[in-house]
Amino acid sequence: MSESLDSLVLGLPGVVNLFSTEPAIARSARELVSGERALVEVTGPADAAPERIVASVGVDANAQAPVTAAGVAAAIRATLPPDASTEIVVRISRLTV
Amino acid sequence: MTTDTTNDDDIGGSGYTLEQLSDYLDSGRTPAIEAIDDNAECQAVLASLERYGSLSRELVSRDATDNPALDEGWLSGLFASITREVKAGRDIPLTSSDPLTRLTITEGAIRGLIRSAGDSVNGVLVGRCSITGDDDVTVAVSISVLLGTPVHLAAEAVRQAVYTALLKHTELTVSSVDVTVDDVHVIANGGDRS
Repeated sequence: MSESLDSLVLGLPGVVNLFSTEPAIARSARELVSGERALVEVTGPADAAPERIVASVGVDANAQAPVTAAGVAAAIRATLPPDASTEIVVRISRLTV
Repeated sequence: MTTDTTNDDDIGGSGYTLEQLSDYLDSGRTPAIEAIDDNAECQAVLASLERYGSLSRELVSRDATDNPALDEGWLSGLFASITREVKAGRDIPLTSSDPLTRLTITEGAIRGLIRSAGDSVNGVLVGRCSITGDDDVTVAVSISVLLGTPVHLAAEAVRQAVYTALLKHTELTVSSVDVTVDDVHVIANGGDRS
């Protein structure tokens, strides 16, 4: 799911980068254990809706950061079942001029 | 999750230092290093190294008092400031209508925005910037001004650019934007810079 979310988020208006949500060493360890290479972090049981999804994005300064963040969250929410109580966190980590 | 580490030299938990990022830039970013390319703080530092690296090559190294170059100490201090400023720091909340959604912008992203806004003013090079306060914030920016540029006009243009950028990208209440001119510089090609 994470890798498809990466593509989804990167294709949204105003989003120019997607960043890791964790330090490099933690990410490397996770990749070794799970083989997971996605940047959008999805946590929770594999057989149910995720508990938490975190995306750290870079936004084009020509877009409005709050609007872009809301758009990212809405796009992620739209991929979930309507009754999912998944927490979505969108963090703008960089504004690119 | 923030990416602060206990090692001050480590940029954004990437495992790479400022010097190593500079080497990476010099190598044309090849071979690609995922830990750098996927790290927001490393990308902010690389962008600054590119911008100020090209600028520093344009600076005239003259010591005549009537044609001062940008002080070398000021420039090295600039890179130290950038390294500090790109740290993610606090997550500043943005409004969300969905109670299950949390939207934030990092303090590091805001500092980078302030720096870019200031640097966008002709004849200005931002030295340091800081944000203090929680709900009502005060922004402090120090700048170097190109010799011959009217100082008060440059400072006012920086203040306006920073205020406009913060209004567009954050929901902060900005009490004041304080601009201090602490240096002047000259550029080899007569003023334009990329």
